[in-house]
Amino acid sequence: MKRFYILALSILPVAALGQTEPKQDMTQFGIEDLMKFEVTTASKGAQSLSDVPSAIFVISEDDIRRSGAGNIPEALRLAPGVNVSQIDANKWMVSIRGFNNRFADKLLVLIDGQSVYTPLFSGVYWDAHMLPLNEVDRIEVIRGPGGSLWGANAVNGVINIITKKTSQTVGGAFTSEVGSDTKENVGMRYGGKFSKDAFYRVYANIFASSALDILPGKPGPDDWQSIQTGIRIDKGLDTDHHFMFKTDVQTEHVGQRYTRPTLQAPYSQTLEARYPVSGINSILRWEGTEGGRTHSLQISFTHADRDAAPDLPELRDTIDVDYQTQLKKVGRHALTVGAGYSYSADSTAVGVVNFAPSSYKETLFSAFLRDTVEVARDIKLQIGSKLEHNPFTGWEIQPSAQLLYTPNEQRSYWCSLSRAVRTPSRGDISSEFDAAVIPGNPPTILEFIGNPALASEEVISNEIGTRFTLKDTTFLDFTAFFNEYKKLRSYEPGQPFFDTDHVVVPFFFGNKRSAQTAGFEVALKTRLKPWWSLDASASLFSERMRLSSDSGDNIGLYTSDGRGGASRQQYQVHSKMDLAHGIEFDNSLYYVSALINGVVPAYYKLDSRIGWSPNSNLEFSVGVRNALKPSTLQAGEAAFETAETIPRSIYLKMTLKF
Amino acid sequence: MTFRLTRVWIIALLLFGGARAYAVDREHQLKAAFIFNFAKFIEWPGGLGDSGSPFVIGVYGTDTYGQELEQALGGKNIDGHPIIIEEIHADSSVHRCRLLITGANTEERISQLVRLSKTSGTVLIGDAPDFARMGGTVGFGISSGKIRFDVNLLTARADSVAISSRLLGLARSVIR
Repeated sequence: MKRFYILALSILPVAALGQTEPKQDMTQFGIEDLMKFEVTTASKGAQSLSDVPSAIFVISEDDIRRSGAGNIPEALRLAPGVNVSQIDANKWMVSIRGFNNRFADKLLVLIDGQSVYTPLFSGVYWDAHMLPLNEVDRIEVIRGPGGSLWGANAVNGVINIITKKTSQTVGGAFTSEVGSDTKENVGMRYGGKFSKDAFYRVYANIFASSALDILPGKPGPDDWQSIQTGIRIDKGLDTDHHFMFKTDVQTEHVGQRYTRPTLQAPYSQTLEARYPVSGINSILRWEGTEGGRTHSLQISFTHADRDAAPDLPELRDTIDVDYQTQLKKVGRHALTVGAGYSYSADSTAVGVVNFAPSSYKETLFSAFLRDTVEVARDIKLQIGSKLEHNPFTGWEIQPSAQLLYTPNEQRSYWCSLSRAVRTPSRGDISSEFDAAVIPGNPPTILEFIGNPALASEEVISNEIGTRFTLKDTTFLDFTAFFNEYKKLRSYEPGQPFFDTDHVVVPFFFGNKRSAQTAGFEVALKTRLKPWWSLDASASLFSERMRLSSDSGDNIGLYTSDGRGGASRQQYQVHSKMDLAHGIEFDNSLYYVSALINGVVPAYYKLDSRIGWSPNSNLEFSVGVRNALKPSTLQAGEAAFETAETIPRSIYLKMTLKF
Repeated sequence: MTFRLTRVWIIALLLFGGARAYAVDREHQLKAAFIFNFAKFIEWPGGLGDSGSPFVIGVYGTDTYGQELEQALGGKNIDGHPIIIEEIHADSSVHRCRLLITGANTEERISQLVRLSKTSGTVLIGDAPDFARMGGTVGFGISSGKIRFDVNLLTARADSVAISSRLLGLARSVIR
């Protein structure tokens, strides 16, 4: 008893200090933003517990800062159900609910509503989006099909990275990080006002990270230098109309090790490459409200130059136009309708993967309708569908229905049934690459060949979930899902043939694989003491892949997309303490069980951080990432890419606002 | 045993009392910011007067806001009109305020205030449940742990103040 008393007394002064954090000037926010703040928070950020009948998880800016994550893919670990593996210094594989590999293709990733995956392989080059983390307001992660709203490729989920409004970033900010792994990461941002309701912001960020060691003391080619700059302007045209423009420009040098098969012994060679990449992303958005009806029109443009990459050299320009309107509520019905158009033109060069034709232009049309019906005071039904036309499979329909029951403000229950598709990518249709060589006399090349008749992959997803808030300080979220996939990509062998001095076995892309996945995710956010918050989550996952009886595929199940690079169990705990004198002490512990494809054993990852803010404009922090082991392997097999072990690293960081 | 329990309770109260104070603080900080935003979306009959003339926010019959309003809005201005936070003690002072934060929580009292505010276009803002439904202009509420507001457009019209449709679009409910 005595000990308890002393412990409690020693905590008290700290607890008292916890509440005297510097007060934020809330008047800088607009009403939309103010409405997102929680009054009695389990977490300090604008956690959205809103009435969404899907498994949504919001990673706030504060969550990211205190996790010690140094970039966006690392920050995505914070959400339950998300699979993140670092491949080398500049590459990650990220997916939701399984099917993970470097070109994870069942996920839609948006930055401010602009899609950033390449239609070439439907994958995301994470290195090309090194948005400084202090630009990010929040990341919304929606697990489960977002197809009825977002369209094709949102098969397993949507990641929407939302940057801050310029009205939130008046003044300057300077950040600098140095460390053993990240050599330097220096950023400067300045925001201000043109007039009463027109704000701007500009930023520039320079980043360099060291190459990872292939063998102790022998660094590989994957060092990485990147410069990214951007500008954003928000202008209120009048009280009811709003205009936004932003552009991000990035140029980088990345390196990688990759393996390609050869006809001579040892029948494969590992090569190294260093090459430049650059890109431009621009968005023009107009939003308005008229008599209870809101509309938005967004036009966005992407230019991506990866022409010098050794594996999938590509030059691409994309224009997207999206219109959405939320009609005035009529009776019990609130309708949202939208339409979209996308045009993407590419030009590919000779690489590990080759494309025929080498350049291609594709056009997409889509429209969606969603009706939110207030069935009763506390029951809402959401039904809707997206209709999309693509050049490869024509029209695709992706309907969904969700039911939400909110008996009171502390509790909600939801269930959802949806169909989503992954339409074939340009690569599925027209790529060609040598996957492996079987030694022999003559040697045999296994050649993968795209199939213009390929159909879309389909999923029927069943989800059920509940969320509740206990005593204003604890938030809990449970979700369970069962997904049935059909027509997944398989590799069907064709007739072998001789080619001068070797045999070629062609494998044509087919649709003869199916899968069932099931899982359970639970997330908890709690404030144990005014000065101590604890966030935790557990994600359980299982999958079963099957080939249909008429499939001749005898290698697909061994490829990275055949046996997912996901794990059956992922657990994480984040402890965030506000100690006296503006000191923060934060620890994040992750457990990731062995990848299902067996190539990576289970691992723990501990990231720790101590932060100190002598005043509200200055912050210093020191931290360690991957603290538990000198190095950890996270990814085993990553298309055309050799995975490296990820070392323990330390860093020092400073943020100054002026 | 009783003695031990008492100690535990005292400690618990100290800890959670702290947490509670923190939460209330924050709620009123946020509400102050909402009020500041409301002022920007409301047009008063005859405008805000000569430039430099004060924009008076009255606090009447409630002390739940404490220092939060003064701290959050003191020194700020609306279109060049410096914000003055004034504690109101009599019905006769209501007309001096552009916005009136009131603790009124009965239909009878609210309709009294509505009558008093008619000529001056004073906008009534309150925390009481169903404040707007009972005739108050803007009533705060909390849904799923977040601040929401309801607007009574009938009262606003009677006061001849114009409320931007953008603000109405964000309201949880609009009584019209």
